[in-house]
Amino acid sequence: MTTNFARRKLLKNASALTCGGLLHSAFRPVNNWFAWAGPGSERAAFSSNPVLIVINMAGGASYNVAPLFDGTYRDKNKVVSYGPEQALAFAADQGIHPSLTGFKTVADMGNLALLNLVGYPNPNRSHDESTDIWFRGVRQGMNSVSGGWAARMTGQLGQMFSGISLAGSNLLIQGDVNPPRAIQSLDSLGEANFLGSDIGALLRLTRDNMMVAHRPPPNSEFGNVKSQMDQVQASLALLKQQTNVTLPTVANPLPQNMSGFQRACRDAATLLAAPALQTKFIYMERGGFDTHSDERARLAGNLTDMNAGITYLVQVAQALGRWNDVMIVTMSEFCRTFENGSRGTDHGHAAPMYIMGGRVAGGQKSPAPTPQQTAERDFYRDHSVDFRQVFYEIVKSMGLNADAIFPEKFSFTSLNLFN
Amino acid sequence: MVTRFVSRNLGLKCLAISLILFSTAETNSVHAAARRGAPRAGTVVDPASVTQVTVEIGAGKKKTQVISCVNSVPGFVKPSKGAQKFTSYAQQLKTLKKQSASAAQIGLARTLAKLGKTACKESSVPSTPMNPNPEQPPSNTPALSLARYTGPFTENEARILFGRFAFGASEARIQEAVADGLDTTITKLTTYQSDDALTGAILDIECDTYLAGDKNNNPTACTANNMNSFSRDGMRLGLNYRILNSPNRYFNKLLTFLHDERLATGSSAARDEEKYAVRDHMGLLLRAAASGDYMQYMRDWNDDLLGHLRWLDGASNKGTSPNENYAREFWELGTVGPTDLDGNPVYTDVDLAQSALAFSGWTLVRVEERDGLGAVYNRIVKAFSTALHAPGVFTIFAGTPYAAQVTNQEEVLQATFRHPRVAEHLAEDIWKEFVNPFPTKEKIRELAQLIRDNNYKLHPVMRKVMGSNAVYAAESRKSLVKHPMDLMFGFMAQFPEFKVPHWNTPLHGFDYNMSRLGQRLLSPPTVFGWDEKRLAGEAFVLDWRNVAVEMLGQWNFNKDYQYDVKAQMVNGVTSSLDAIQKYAKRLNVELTNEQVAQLDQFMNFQYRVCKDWRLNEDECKGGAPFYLEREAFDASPLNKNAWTSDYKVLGVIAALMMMPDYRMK
Repeated sequence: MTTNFARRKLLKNASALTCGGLLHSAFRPVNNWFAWAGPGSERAAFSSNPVLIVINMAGGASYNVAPLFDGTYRDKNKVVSYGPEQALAFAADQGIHPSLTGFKTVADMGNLALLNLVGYPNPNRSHDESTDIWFRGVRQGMNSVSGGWAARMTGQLGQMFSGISLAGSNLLIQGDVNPPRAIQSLDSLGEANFLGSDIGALLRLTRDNMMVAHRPPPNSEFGNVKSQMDQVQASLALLKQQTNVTLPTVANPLPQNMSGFQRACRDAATLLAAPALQTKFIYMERGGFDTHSDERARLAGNLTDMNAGITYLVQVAQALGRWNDVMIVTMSEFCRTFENGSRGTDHGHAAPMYIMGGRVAGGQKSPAPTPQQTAERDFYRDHSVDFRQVFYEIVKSMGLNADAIFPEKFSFTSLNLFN
Repeated sequence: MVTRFVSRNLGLKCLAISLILFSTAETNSVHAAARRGAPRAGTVVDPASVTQVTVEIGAGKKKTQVISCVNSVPGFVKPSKGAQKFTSYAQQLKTLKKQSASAAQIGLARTLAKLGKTACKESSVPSTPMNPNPEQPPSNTPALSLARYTGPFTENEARILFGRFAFGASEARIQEAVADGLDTTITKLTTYQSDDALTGAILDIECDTYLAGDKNNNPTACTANNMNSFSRDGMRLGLNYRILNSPNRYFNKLLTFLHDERLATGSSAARDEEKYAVRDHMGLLLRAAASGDYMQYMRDWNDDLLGHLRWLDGASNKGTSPNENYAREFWELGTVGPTDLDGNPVYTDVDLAQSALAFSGWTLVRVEERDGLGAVYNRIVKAFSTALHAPGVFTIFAGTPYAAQVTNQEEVLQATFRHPRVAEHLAEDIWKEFVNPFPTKEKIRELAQLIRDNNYKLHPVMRKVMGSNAVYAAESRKSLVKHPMDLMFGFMAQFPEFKVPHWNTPLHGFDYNMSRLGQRLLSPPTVFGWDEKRLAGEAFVLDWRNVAVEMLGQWNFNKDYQYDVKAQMVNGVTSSLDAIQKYAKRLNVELTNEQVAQLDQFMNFQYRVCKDWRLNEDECKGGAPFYLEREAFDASPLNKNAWTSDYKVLGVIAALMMMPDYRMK
């Protein structure tokens, strides 16, 4: 015995959710998943359509992502470091990791900036807590600021997909007003799988039908919770519709069996090709940088994967004519110590940071660590650039109120990141 | 009703049709309302029941006219003898005709009746059709009183009690409570039991986040006699372990209430050389939860390095250059609150400045100590310096009956606790955390008096609340939004043997999932703690769904952890309906018949994709993407596909957890 009952239910739900969404949109305020504004409603202050893409190298990436050639550094990192003969050429005292060939291409175009010794005061070397500091954008007096700086940023933008996380939810995107949406990937629209694809599909179908058949909320608090669930579902349907686009063919396409990070880059490229969404913040993450042992091989593997994804993203942005809109920024919660006994590195602090984009003024934006700094201890404790300085300058260039996004005072000197 | 109409329509037709249906429904309701409740001419009406709309009239619509609507009926209201009297335009029209009024007068009344009918109808359209219930007003009904609850104490009431005051309970504990009755259950719940047996394991976890026996456990990770030698993450995981395993579930719930609602503090505020302050703060919370002594809790806060001196800048509060951060939060969050029940300020900025001076004098000093290996390590310790303390006498609550002269933090504490607002503010938070979100002033005052009568000792107060009508009243049920910790600890209470899937250990998995939901203990977003409504909001909807799905749907982890799904969840289930009812009851999710039918379908059918090798041409005609094929649920051990019955039971639990009902307590 078979039945099509569930299909009818699915269609019924789809109509309830999508049309319900349209109905809702007439009533809801702007800062809401339902508040759909079409193209043209963007703030007049923006002369272009800038998009900040933050790539978190989670786990604490080694300084060897941007190799230092200084002899003191090489002596302290005999196995894991790279000399000028191995690294890709960038500056006299510093190169680009050999796996990052796409970065080198962007550098040759003059659109790759490299910042040295990026960190924050009073280093914290716990993964979780240091990540919190980077995400919150606050170091002292953290009690006064709620949520992540990306949420404060998209709170100023106000479109429902102003910000999208392609790496799930975290403190960076948590906030009270119009936070970025954690959708994980455009394939799943944020839905985790359950056991197998078929039973997972049946579970989602059942869940959606149960939401439609739900009893009336017994009180306003309950009603609000249910309403938020309904709204999210309807918004995801709209996102799916808007991202149904064909991407241009580029010189370095992604492989058929792409990695999770490469899939995220594909999704970021798709979002660039869907300007009606007005997405201005995209978050991606690539883990595996906690290289306590065997750093050389592990770092090369991680960066090869990243390089393929980012190269594709850059090429699609160029093909779409959006290269001048894009700012791709790498971050990591901390850098690492110098080489340990396991041919790896442990938790450190101040780190290098890459920024790429058509408007980026390339070059070494802050000096590489001196031999004295390298000799002082087993990691770079003291930073010369506060990470907030970087993001402050970026969000300001996007026409946003940077002081509201980074309310805590910190030393600031313009880095002249953009042409 | 409206929602159902909309859901029956498809595609682009949906909007238009639904609006028509919507209008029809509303028109009918207007007529019904008119039949039921349209007032007669000159009827006295409650001003609160009158809404006003503006319509444009006249050539070119240049004039406007305000119309009053009562029960969606248009008319006008006139004051008369101190009352408001309503006359509908339809009634006025009849009267004018009887009186042979002028054509202009009759025409105007007719126009206003016609325009008003539409305008009043539109003004009554709810702005959010998915949430038909208006804001619940404060209620003073006896059901919401603190009087002793005398109704039946069934499984439902036991689930409410444990769900709100103890992070939930296992099925066995619920049955034990029902057998014990309310009084005995409260006594058991609020009697502290030694959980010293957990101490060794907790210290082990605090060291490197792992327990002895875990594959990554490092027995030499911590150095003896080095007070900073432990992991901050381990401290948090240790707290999770404690709450999961301690018999003192009410006390640990109280601990999280204090940590979240009454001055939240983050472990990141401590520098490496003063990491031990995180452990000290944990001790402060544990003592407060065990004793229930709220005044002592605030006194301990005054001496707390992590909370006072670092998180709230007390170490920067010098007599010559005051920092008011702690003084402000001591009052605003910890004690009196910024305003009274009528919205009047409780203290002024001058009071705050004076209080900050009385708190001044703390500083931090780096000292050298030797660890167990004889190595020297640095530790930052607090010290009080009279040189840094502002000299003199300071006046707080000036100009009020609670004005006091103070010179130091203990005198600020004493003077503050003489202020009646301390108990009121605490009563407000207790009511909103444990009873319902809409306390009245009268109830707050009553609960505050109880707090004062008990000298700020919380346990007798909480016992009274636990046994009150208000907790079990229909108005309170499912009115509180669960925190992620309620969801996570609550789930583990339901399935005590469950192992949360994670590449590391189940405890890490538990912590990871709670973090995904926006709540990591000892890392609050602000001093105000976590906002459970935000965490239940749109930004976390997907996360919660995924946590539910991933916790139950990662089969490999179940095997790796040797978690026996069949023994723990499936055995004893006799049919699909039996499973649905069993778990709906256990998870306290109320289902409609249609929802039961959906779950029953889930359990008795398989999902078939039309494109795959199982293609059934008949079922896939017309481009259907999938069809359902019947495969009856069979929990019998003789079933060859017994694993599918395990999947289905896990799926039912996941589906129930994804319902809004499960997010409420």
